[in-house]
Amino acid sequence: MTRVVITALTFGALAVAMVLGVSWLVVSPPGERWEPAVNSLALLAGITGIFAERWAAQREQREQAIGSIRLEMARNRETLDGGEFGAATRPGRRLYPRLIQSAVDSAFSSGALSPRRDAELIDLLHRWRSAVGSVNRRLEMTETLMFTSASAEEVEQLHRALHSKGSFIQGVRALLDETQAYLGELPR
Amino acid sequence: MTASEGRLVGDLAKAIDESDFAWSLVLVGEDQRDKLAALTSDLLGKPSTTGDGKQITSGYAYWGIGPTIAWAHACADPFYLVMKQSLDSFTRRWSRVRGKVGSGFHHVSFGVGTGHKDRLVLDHLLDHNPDLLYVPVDMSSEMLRLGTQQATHGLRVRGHRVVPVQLDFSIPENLAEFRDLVHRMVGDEPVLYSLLGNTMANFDHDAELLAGLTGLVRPQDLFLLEVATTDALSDELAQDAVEEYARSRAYREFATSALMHNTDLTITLDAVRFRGAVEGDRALKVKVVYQNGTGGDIMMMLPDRTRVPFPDQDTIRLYLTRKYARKALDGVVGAAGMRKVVGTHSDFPVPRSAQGFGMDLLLLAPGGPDEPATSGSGSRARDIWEH
Ligand SMILES: C[S@@+](CC[C@H](N)C(=O)[O-])C[C@H]1O[C@@H](n2cnc3c(N)ncnc32)[C@H](O)[C@@H]1O
Repeated sequence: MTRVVITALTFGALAVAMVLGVSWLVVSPPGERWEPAVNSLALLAGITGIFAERWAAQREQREQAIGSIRLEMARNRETLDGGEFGAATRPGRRLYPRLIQSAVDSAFSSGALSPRRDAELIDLLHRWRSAVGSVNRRLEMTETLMFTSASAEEVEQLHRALHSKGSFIQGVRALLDETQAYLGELPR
Repeated sequence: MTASEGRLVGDLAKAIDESDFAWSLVLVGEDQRDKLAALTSDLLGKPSTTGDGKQITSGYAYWGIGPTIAWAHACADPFYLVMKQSLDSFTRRWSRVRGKVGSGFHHVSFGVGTGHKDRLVLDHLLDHNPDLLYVPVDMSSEMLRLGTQQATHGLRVRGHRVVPVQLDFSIPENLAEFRDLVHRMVGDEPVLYSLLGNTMANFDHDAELLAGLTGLVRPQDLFLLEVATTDALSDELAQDAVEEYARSRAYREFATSALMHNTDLTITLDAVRFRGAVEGDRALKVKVVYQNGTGGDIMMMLPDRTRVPFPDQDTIRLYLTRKYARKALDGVVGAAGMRKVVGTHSDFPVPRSAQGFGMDLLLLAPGGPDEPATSGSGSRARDIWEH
């Protein structure tokens, strides 16, 4: 409420001042127009300056957010390609690394992405977030089973299911491909 | 069917059952002239030193009385381990599996061979279904006759309940027709199908063959599959597999018999070569080829009397076989839309034979491993990770 009132007061005052300044310029005799002219121009600069500064700040924030999402995706790619998720790992009880999503989360919470310009990216990132949450939950269950109730045979089955063609992980890989491709096309 | 036709069939059945003469009623599914044409065209392949040109595909290797007798000899040869072991240990392996086959089953056997195994299967099934129908299927009418007699002699199965079918089961259209035939004969009663003796391994497209055969299986039916297996895959093991076949003279005689009976080649057993290789991550593969090592070109006459060149070093593939990696079996079975109910494995107890070679007998039921209701112990893993 106060924000709206303050904004209204500020812009209202500026607008009124602008109107007064222009009328002053019109009514003052020709020899005395310097003062109202300078006054009006200063007011105009003040008003546009506010918008310019806002716009620049937002742009910078968006670029930062996208930059860190890019980095985060690259990290996730490394995780999925190497080590525990790679094709060459042997079955056995183990802890798996998790996929991360903090850059995506903070981009959402800071409002760095604009719902108008980035609608498609936002949709993609929402899907990515829910996939990551889902994978991490499945990993947790897998580990819990592996270390508590699973027989050696079941440990192997879990390993195989995780690496299988129909595995959830494959869906996540595809989504990561899509997201990275989209981010790659954005101007830097 | 009119009353008089019904009477005719009934009289025929009775005459067969009551006669001492060994009548058998055989259904012939294909024109044998077409078969001969197909064999001829397989022998017209391009020259190849690796067995990839001219060939005798599975089925034709057993076709006719000569190959049939040669096969029976090879099976009795103590040096032809795969078959001998398969026959010797079948009683034991079948006894571990048969408890899972309920009562009321009929039996359809793909590739009877000598019939020894079918006999054991029938003996068990008859205990639970004295009225069972036995349908052996084979491309070779001579093999059908030999195998069926061996399988049924002295058992309580009545002559008219035995329906041998001469048919090439590697042809999808044949299977579609055969499926209708079987389902008409048995109605809704369950059928035990079988493909024994590593027969599956003889086909270039073995997975498709199995999928075709399992396509006949309805939910109430079961499928018995026997394959040769290996614990590991490597080039050395492929060589061991080669040696296993190469050791038996009777086996070479069998492998060349189709060539001997269908061409005018003068067969020397020394020209039989064995080529072993690893086939991806699923099997050890052995090709048996006949190679022209005379140093000169030969003209060979085909069954239709055309003469074709058989150049120096050229080969004719006589036989193809495999030993499946035991780990790959679940995948093979799953790809055919089946799941394992029980399986038994028996190792070769023979010295000098490679470690880990053996035979696996699997009882399969329809339903891929993905079906949660039937998924057994792997289900938690799949529930968690299936996309
Ligand atoms: C390797 S033997 C196995 C025999 C027997 N089942 C056993 O286990 O001893 C293969 C049998 O299948 C038959 N066969 C092979 N290919 C066939 C085909 N395409 N159609 C019909 N029968 C075929 C052969 O004639 C032979 O009797």
